[in-house]
Amino acid sequence: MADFRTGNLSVFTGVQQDIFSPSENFLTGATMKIGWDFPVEKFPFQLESVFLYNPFSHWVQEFNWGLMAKVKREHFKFQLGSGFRTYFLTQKAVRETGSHSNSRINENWNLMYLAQYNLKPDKNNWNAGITFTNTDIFLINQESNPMFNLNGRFDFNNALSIFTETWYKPAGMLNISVNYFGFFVRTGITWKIG
Amino acid sequence: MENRLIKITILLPALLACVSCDMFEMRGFVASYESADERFRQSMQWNSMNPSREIMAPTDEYSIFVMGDSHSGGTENLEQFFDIAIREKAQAIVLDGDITMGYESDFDHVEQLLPAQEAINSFLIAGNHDLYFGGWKSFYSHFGSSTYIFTVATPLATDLFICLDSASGTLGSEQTAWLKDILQTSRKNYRRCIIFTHNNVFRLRHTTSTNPPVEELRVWMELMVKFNVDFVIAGHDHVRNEEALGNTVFITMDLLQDGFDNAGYFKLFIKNGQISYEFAKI
Repeated sequence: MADFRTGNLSVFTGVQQDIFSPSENFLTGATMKIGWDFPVEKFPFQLESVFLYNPFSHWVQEFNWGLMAKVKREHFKFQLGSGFRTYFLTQKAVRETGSHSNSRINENWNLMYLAQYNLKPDKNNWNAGITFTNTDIFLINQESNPMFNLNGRFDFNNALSIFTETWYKPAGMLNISVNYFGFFVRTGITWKIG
Repeated sequence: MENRLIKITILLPALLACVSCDMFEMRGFVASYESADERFRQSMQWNSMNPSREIMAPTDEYSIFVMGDSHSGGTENLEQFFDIAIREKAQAIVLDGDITMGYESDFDHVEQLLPAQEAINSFLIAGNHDLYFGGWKSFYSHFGSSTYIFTVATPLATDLFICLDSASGTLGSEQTAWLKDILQTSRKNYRRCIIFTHNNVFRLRHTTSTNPPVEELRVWMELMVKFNVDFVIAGHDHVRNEEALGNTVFITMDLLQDGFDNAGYFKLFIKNGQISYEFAKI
């Protein structure tokens, strides 16, 4: 993953490769986010366009795009936006099923959201927080399927940080009794160059 | 400002919960009584003592009538559905989840109304409402498994019908593995393959009704397309919809609950191997 910033603009890119997974493909995700910072009175807003491609299968793949508005306060981060999802058949699937007319399904105007609370202000050299969201780097869930994470960050210096996140994913929400769906831990380092 | 944000963060999920809680058990917001895997294991235990049913159709033309979301309680529409299916000589009826509101008395009532097997074959699947108030125990004791197959054999071919339990918003890992195994090993032996499950697959309109998570849908879609599943018939969303991906048609049925203008059910016809269907109003 790489995040490039200049002035009010930022570009985030990433790819996901699965070494061990039920997926048939090695490359299972590619994303690009383009952000534009602009203050409204005292609020530092950011508008971000999101593009996400998930080639999770040789048969069916997924593409999402959307627009998010972000606002960050000392302890809080909120994101709200809307996305458009298309599941589509690959050429292999079209060829093997002979189905040319039913090659895609669209889910339009999916709500995307994130609410995060952090113990410390953003500039502190460590932080810990809790997040409620339906989006992750390579996943945009339906609005009715939120995920939760606990996250922590420690800055070794201005350039180098370590972070860790523990995610809990339930299935079922509101009208469906909650069922455990998944749990995972993500950890890594971020290195600011220049 | 920070205090206001804290209040909004706490109040918004609480408000969402209340908006959608008119027929719910609040415990469900935290945890289910049984996990999808636990229910699947019980269903398999039941299946081991009750072999899958094989229906013999006298000709290569038959129909199956399907309903979802009667939320009984009231059973006026459900009784009409049974009567029509028997009168029109359907080979089977499928009750595709949310048959009850989860109360023991609801299950008793539906069991009393359910036509005898001599009159028509009936197949029941649990939906999210059937699990409320510890409803799975009642479902299991009244109707047995919620994950199973049945077949319809005509003089020319045999068609496969798979019933899946998605009442928790997920099939769970064990049921997903079972589905994969059935499709990999058995699909080729059958002419048509139709799946019944309660939870609708795609989120095609904004409602509070919840779909399986995207990561699970990816597995679903690959299996449906790869193994040439003909239909996936679901309820849950209460409003009819039909979408196709590849050769798979994804149907969402209207609800059958009493007192709704759009109350209806679904007729599936198979004639000489060709499938047609009709949304019917009650």
